[in-house]
Amino acid sequence: MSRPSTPRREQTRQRLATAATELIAERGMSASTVELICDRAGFTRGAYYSAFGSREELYRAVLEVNQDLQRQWIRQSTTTLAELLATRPDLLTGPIAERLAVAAEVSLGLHGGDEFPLGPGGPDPWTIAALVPIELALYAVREPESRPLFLATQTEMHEELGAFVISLAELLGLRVAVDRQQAGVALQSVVLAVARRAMTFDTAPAQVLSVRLAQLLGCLVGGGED
Amino acid sequence: MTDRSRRREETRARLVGAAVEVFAAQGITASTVEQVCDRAGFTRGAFYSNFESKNDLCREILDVETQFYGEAFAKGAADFAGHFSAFPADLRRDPYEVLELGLRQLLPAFIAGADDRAASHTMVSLLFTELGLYAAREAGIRAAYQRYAEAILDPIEQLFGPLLGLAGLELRMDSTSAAEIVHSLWESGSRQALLLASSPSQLVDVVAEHVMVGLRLVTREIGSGA
Repeated sequence: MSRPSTPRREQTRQRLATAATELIAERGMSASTVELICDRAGFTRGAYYSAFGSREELYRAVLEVNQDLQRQWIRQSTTTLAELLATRPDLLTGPIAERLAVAAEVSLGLHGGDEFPLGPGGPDPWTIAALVPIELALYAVREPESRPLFLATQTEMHEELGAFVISLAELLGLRVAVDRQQAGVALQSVVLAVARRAMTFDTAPAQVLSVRLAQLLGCLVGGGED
Repeated sequence: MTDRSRRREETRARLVGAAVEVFAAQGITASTVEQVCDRAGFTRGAFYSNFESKNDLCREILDVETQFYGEAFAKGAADFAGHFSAFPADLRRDPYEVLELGLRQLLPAFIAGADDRAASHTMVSLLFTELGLYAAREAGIRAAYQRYAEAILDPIEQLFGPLLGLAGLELRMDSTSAAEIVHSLWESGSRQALLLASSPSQLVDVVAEHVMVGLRLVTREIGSGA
């Protein structure tokens, strides 16, 4: 079990978890060995084992990194859209399709705002966004004792994504026609599948997703204005 | 077939079978040709006289599945037509109830493991999830993966016509985009089934529930749209 945490210990733990997340994106869970994680983070194996008593503890930390990245994405997209609408109030009276396209572009970082980087020199952010959540699910399939934690985290992430869709719609003067959990499941499914598919077809994920997300948002609001 | 070519076929099949087990157990990046040979009980010489590399073997697995999918589609579509030609045209039914009936009729033919490979469903499903991750990372198998990905989307796109017509529904968008959205939910449903389902019927339930979320989103009742 983890010992009492000091700021320094916490920082070490964070850096190791970040390095692990990047490696998992690049090579998958099984190929991300303790040795590779330590090399990337610049720590000894001793430091690793004092931060994580088991593979399960590392898994928990990577789940947290993954959830934090989603929260950053949600926060940033919502703020950027609100700021954009403050300077372009005309968008709110324009055609619904146009509003949805703007929301999709904003959430893909196509209207300014930083991408969500983990660290310099790491993998492409899309590799992390599209592959890590799937790796985390597969780990839970193979290690049944980690399933409850994965499923609980996944439910939270779906709720947060659903709430995100609802707030994007509200900013645009639209109303979401399905329940929050379903909206979250749909958004997560589409982002993961479309981004990964784009990567396997040598296409930029943001390019395909900007179209697909606008379509999905259109389905979620069912064409209804508030 | 001569004895020699039959032996060769057997060797190839055993290598593929061993690779499926190794890949499903630990992912493809972490798997080596040596591990596959150990599992199959062959030397590396035997491996390399049949396959150029690990990627070559992945391509073979994908090509076989692509063909399986094409055949499953032809059979599934024929069964579907047979079943629903006898379906009572009960117009008072909820269109989505009709859609779900149709979907459940079709699904088993397409779910890896719900057919005669039922016993190994988990392995087959893990394997193809791993191949999707590997194709996103490894350019060497992308062409084969792209053919497989198309073979999976085509049936969805082609079945929209008969399935939605039966229920009195229409698409809100072009059929290619709609197929991609529905397939995204299919994929996340398959992962969820790996975590939750313990029998083939539960497997169909979990996948059907996800696919229905997708189908509800991309469709509307005929005449209800702009």
